[in-house]
Amino acid sequence: MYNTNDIMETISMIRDNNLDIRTITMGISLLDCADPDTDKSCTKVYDKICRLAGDLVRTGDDIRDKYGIPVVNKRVSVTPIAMLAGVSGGDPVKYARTLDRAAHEIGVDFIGGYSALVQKGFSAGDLALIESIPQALCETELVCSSVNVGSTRAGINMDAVRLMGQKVRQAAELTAERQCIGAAKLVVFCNAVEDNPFMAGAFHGVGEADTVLSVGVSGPGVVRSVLADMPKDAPLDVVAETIKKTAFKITRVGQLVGSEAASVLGVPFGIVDLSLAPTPAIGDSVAHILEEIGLEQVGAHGTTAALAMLNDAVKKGGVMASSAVGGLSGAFIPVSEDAGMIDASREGTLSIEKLEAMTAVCSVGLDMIVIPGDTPADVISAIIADEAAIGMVNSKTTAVRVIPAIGLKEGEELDFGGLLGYGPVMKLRTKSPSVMINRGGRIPAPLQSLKN
Amino acid sequence: MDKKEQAVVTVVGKNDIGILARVATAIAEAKASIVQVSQIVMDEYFTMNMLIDISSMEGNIPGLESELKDRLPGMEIHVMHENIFNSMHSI
Repeated sequence: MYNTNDIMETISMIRDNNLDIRTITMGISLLDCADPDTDKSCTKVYDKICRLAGDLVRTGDDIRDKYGIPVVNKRVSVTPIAMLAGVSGGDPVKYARTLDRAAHEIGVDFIGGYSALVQKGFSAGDLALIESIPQALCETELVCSSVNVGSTRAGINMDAVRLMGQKVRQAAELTAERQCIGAAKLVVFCNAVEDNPFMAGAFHGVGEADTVLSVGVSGPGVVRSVLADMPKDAPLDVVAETIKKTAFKITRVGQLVGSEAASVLGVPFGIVDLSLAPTPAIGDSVAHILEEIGLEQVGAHGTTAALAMLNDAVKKGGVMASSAVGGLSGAFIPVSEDAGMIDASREGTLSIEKLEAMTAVCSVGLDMIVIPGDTPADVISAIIADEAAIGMVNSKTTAVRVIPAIGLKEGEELDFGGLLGYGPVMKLRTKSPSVMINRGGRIPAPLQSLKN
Repeated sequence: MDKKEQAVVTVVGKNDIGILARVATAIAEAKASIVQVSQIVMDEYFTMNMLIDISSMEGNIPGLESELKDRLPGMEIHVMHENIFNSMHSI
């Protein structure tokens, strides 16, 4: 029989502290759907997604009922569509519409993979896809898009960076009447990972099996609540140890759900992404964990150190709990999706510069940040370049998902609703990086020795 | 299903006559069987953990949980599959 304390701990994690499975994501390769005829290609894409992922939502709901643990999102990620567009030519938006239709048909929350990988250059299909992103995100509801513009091995493709600044802005402009939602579904990566189950950046890498099922667990509320029970003078190594143990337990649940879902669906189990992913709900905030560690508010000096420790402890705890850890794995810091981050940016404690520093030690990057509506495209490109440089030099994934709030000024707010949350417009530097961005070309890959 | 499946039922609340009887009746009616029970009454509070075999249970876990909640209003009741405790608390 189980120990009563263990039983109560598990129940309170799930019922009181928002422990959930953030997503089960089925990765589907579409390489065998490529056809020189765009319409035929789209038909094959639609059929394959519906055939393989048709039971995904029901499986997620069954598992929720069986274990009493919420499976918040069910998603599909696919092969970067630029590869299919490269084979077929034609208007890539057709693929976006097909993906959206398939996603609606099978009932998933999002479908990711309207993507291109251009860290070293553009191949057939890449430029056409990038050009079509704003239109695709405007016309569809559930499609998410990502572009990888740099990597530690390839350097940064500054032509792509320049383009992406424009595309982010256009995506917001085209959806200005819908809270600029287009830009919230578009991520620009450096060192993108191929097995990430989290949106908007999920795509199914070409090195992956035909179909895999990956799981993203969450649970900032659980970590915060454990830390809240600790004495305020407990040394940081003890705090880190406690986070590790908690991350272990959270990840075990992810492993359980992932392997069960994979076996029910008859596909190989991919990875557990052991990220602490916040939601705007009270008690589900990464910022509040940092505050529990001992900061008056997130954004204060000391935030970067606390986040570095948290990120590392989450990974250390999670790695042993799962047979395969992958994806982004760490602590996410999406501003509009985190109640504590929203408060701190409203009060001005959290600035874009501090967030940039935090991205050097967290799991991803500048995420869900609302910027002034009149921000020029080359400033957005420069934000992307800065962030990609941090990722490139530190051999980590970084990303930019900023939302230009068309028509809004500093201090006003966008509200996306649901998990995407809401947030105030954050102040940016106004001096122009235009000449640098318009140079284009490439930033060469960094030296892998002489590391100082 | 040949694989044995078990769930843990927890009931916490103010003590009253017949709590265990009502829980046991609901479980029997759902065609689940009781494997092990640990129960304690401290002051006037009743705490019970019960391991039940749900291999041939009719309905699902949320169904049993809401049935128990209907029969024992005011008590805090949870029914969860044992795998979740196994995976979290044992290596």
